[in-house]
Amino acid sequence: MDSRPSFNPLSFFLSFFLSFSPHSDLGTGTEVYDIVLSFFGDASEEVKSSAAFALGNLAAGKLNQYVPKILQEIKQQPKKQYLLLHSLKEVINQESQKDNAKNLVPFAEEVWSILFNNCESEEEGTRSAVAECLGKLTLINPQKYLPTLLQNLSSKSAFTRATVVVASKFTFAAGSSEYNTLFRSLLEGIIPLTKDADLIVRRVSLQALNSAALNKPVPVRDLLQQILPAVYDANVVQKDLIKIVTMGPFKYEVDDGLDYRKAAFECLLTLLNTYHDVIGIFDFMERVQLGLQDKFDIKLLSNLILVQLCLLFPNAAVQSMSPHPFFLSSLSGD
Amino acid sequence: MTKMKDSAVKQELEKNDELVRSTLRAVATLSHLPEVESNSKFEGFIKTIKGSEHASKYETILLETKDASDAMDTS
Repeated sequence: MDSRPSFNPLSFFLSFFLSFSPHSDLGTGTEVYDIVLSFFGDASEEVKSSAAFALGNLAAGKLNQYVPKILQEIKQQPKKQYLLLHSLKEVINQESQKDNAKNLVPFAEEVWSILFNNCESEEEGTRSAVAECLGKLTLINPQKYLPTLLQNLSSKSAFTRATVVVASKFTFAAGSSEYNTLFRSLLEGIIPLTKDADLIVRRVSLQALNSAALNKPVPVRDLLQQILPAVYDANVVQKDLIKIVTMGPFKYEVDDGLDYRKAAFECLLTLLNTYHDVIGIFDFMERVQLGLQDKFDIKLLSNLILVQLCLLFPNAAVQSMSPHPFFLSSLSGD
Repeated sequence: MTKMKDSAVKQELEKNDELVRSTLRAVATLSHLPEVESNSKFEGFIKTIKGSEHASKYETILLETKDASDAMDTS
């Protein structure tokens, strides 16, 4: 149980208590619910997150009794939303795994719409909790919900686009290949978002492509001729995203494109490992050469890619490093 | 203040060392390839490394990666 924090008497009590709650009757439901909810206002983050987990566990046993209350709170208590969403995530986690999620189905529609209303939260933590809930909920009825995710990839709100892309990433990782046709459409919608106006959307789109490349080889192979150029474009340093910041006597560079370029190099490694039979090696090598001259994290990734290339394409690996030893710059502390 | 500076310097050195090792690993893996033997330019780079401050690190990594590439051959 990763969510269980380090020792704290109160959170220990909550964790202990929640381990009994799903299937046993602890007094009248309302009392227990109110007690757990009262810890949402606690000063300690540990206690708050234990309480969120406890509430989720409590509700997972008795959806009819608690889920409507949790949904009500989400609507009325914006400050507690983050914790409530974590409780909801716990409910969805547990219920989506048993009996074809039959307990969850009656609530799916309402939960879905509440989640969508929270897509636009400015808090990244809230959005990622929403995305995980949306992803898991999608998988209880992919036929119905995957098209809704697809539709919202073109939302006007950048936060919504980002949340929906992250939700899609969850579905690539956990969804059944039975829905490959739908996954293919979703991927087709995500590829252009690697050039979105919003940098967060670009980064999460590349991360979603990476997850698809790892988990959904059939649709990815189908779309590889669209995916590769998108990733290759994202590998290149974009000068307009580099800003010079002055602090006292010092000037240093801030590269707003670094995170999403890093995601693009992670894609490159995955694509090489899984689709080396179909990638054009010379275009690919050009990107590796760029990576070897990029920032720290990207240099490390590029070295890993180079090692893989030695095994898969020894000739190309040697030839591409011969005209110029790109790796030597990393050894001289540049 | 000095402490903070020290730990920042230490962190920087560790990062640098990580990068040097990862680079040497890639170079060593390349150098085990038969394709390298006929490549005089590449042999020049290796000579540069062997004559640099990284020489002993490179030798160690060369041995480690040799085992890995031998294991590949037999599989």
